[in-house]
Amino acid sequence: MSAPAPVNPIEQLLPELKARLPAEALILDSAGKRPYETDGLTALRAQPGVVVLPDSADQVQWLLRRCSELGVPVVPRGAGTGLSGGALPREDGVLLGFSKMQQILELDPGAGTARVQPGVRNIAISEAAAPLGLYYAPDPSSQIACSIGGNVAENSGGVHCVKYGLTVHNILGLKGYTMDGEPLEVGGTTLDCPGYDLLAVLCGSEGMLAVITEITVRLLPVPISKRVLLAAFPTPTAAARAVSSVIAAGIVPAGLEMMDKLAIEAVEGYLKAGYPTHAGALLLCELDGEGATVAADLARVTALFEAEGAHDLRIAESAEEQANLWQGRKAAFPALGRIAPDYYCMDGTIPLAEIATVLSRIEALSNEYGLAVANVFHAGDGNLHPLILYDANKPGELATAEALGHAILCACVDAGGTVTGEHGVGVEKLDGMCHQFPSSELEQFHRLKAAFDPQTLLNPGKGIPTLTRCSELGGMHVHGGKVPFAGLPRF
Amino acid sequence: MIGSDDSDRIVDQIRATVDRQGAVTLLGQGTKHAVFRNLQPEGGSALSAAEHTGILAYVPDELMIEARSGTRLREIEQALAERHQRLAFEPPRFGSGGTLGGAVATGLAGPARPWAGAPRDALLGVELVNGAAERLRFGGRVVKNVAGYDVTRLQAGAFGTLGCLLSIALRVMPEPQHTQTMNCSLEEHAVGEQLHQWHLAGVPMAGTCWHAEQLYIRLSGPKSAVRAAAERLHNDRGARETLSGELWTNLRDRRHEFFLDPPFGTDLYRASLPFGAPPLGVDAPLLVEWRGAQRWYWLRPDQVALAEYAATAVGGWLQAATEPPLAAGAQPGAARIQQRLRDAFDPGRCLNPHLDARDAD
Repeated sequence: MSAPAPVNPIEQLLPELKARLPAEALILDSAGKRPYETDGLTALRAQPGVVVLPDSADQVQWLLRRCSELGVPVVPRGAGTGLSGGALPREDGVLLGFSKMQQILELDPGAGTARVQPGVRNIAISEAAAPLGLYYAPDPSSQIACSIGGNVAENSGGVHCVKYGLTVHNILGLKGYTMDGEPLEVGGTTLDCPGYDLLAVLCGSEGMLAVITEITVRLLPVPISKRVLLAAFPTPTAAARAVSSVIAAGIVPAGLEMMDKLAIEAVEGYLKAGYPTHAGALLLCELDGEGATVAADLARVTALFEAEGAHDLRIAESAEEQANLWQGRKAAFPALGRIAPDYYCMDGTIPLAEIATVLSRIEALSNEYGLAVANVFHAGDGNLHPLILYDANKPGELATAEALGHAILCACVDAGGTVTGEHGVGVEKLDGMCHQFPSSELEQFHRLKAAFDPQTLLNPGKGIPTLTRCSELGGMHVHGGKVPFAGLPRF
Repeated sequence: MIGSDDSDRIVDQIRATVDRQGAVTLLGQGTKHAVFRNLQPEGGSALSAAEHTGILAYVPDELMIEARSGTRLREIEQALAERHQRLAFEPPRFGSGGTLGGAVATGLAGPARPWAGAPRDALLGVELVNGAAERLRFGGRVVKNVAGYDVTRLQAGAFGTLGCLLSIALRVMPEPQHTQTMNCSLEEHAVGEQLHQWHLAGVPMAGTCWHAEQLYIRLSGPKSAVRAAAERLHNDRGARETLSGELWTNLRDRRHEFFLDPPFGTDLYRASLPFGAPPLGVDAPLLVEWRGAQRWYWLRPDQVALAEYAATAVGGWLQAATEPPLAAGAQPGAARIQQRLRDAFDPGRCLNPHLDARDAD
């Protein structure tokens, strides 16, 4: 370990940044840096040492090389819509934003691919591909704002991943740099590549392994036919049973979403979407594909829903009707934002069979902690989004919300699930990771990180908790006190 | 559940190997030797997971199965078939048997790869023993899971060099209601564009094979969709329904007559190419799968360089089919990171070190 540097490394970097990069690529003043203090997890803030907005891969490479040489931490940031604090800056570091790298470099209809820069918005890819009859399938709810680079970092999902998979299933190639500025290219335009599946490990690595400057995504033909079905159920348990029965019947819907009573009421109060407010829960089911298939599946889903006590079934045929039904689901978060000053969105995933049990447990925890929880989530793949409603201006309420959130995530892990389905660990779920993983697995993660970034300068402190943190929490599982790889540094 | 837990012996053998700084050759049933050379070096100390068997959990309502790595593919497929489900990636098998662990470690996929994915796409979680003899679990049984780095998918195609797989959780898919194979004559240069048009039109393809001027297309899905597509293929190209017999399993397992009849003085090569890639212009026996993305060639030694150049020029790659596709490609940084990952999981190079040889060149 080297001795502490006499000069603050970022102070040393600043004059070089000014000399090397165009003035518009740098934000140095406090007011300018303010929008970068936080991402979608607004409860956590920090002022970045400097914000750098490169417009080329060469600038990224140079920056990483110099930061690596000087020991300056780098935090990459896409559009800043992430919900787990993955882009939370550091005062002693560079915040590396991609808002000036927004070019769609190539659309290849024959290969069914798009080559894009990381700052391109998710929905912009589908918009550009639409004239070719193609689209990019993963559609996180923030798709009008979130960037494809951020999607890769988080392995983002969305409402359609029941059928079309996550980001990792829909990208083919990545180009970028490791923290030392060395080029790294993985995948390409083929379905497979020789060697380890580095594409898979970079996807969802929360910007901690490499900085990506170019992404090749896979495009799919726009489905010929689409139908959306809304159904009300007396209880969340009945709705959960209906979800299982659809999957068990061999039907893979494009999307299958659930909202509970509190969420329905909030949406109705906000939009007057015509949702059935007397319902205990509702399901939104989207089916897509070839026309006859969609019609047949729709009839089967309707029957399965009715068998579980569904009422108020509505089928949207036209694109406009479908948009209307989806509108309520998509507006759920802002609608809940109207009934409480603040909300805290969780992201656990559980086996489908556990939905009813875990929802009951969440209700009990909600009563215990004295904070209301609304549920709006991707039921088809068991990805819960409990929204804890609180008021940050009331002393202690944020801490209570965080404690309740942690308890909910532990309930997800205990039900055989995970602390994060699609939002990432970031800084938010580091404690949850201590609950989910024993120390040996965490150490393996740290060794994996070191294979890419031995100095631990790239987005440090995110994603994987230190063993110290976990042991202080008392949640760490150490097996037999054995410490393998004794020669490696401890994290 | 029926089966046997052989994990203690596996961990003990790896620990003993680590302690004496030795090496083990990881095996399932050893059936992949039929196509890959150098999987089991002579004189190496073998560690087979073939007795570590049994389905640990199968939840049809969740499209999830978890089994020990030595479980036979046949057993898994039987269990799935009873509930009208299957492994969508159609794991190839070479000889009688084949284990789940071998299928995942080799990462190979069958004729439906472009539509149904590969083992990496179906993987949900693994338990493995790393090169420090630690038992570790990654992923889980749920589809959406971004807690920690994706060590699970990293195992697919790693040929055991990042860990000896003990158990594997996979997403399974419903069996299609109906499958039908269509056949028409078509010249090589017209195949790519025609398949692209059908792809755009939503034709429910689940396999394509072009060989000797004949194009075969496997349609699968609900009966109405398959019938409509069959009619379209007939109208467009005069395609007719044909009894596929064992065409698709023979392709999957490299038992199609193309693979069984090597021309004198040639070796089998596989090109992985982007969809829409033009013919490579190599005058050699050819079989094209995966809507043009996987092409097999019997090449004479003097043709290899040209074929490799032509594949690379269109964004693809070419490799001898007998070579495990484990060595990192020529892309910047890939080999360096691969070596470091190897160190991160198996610093003493205890697991399958003989497969590292090419990278060390």
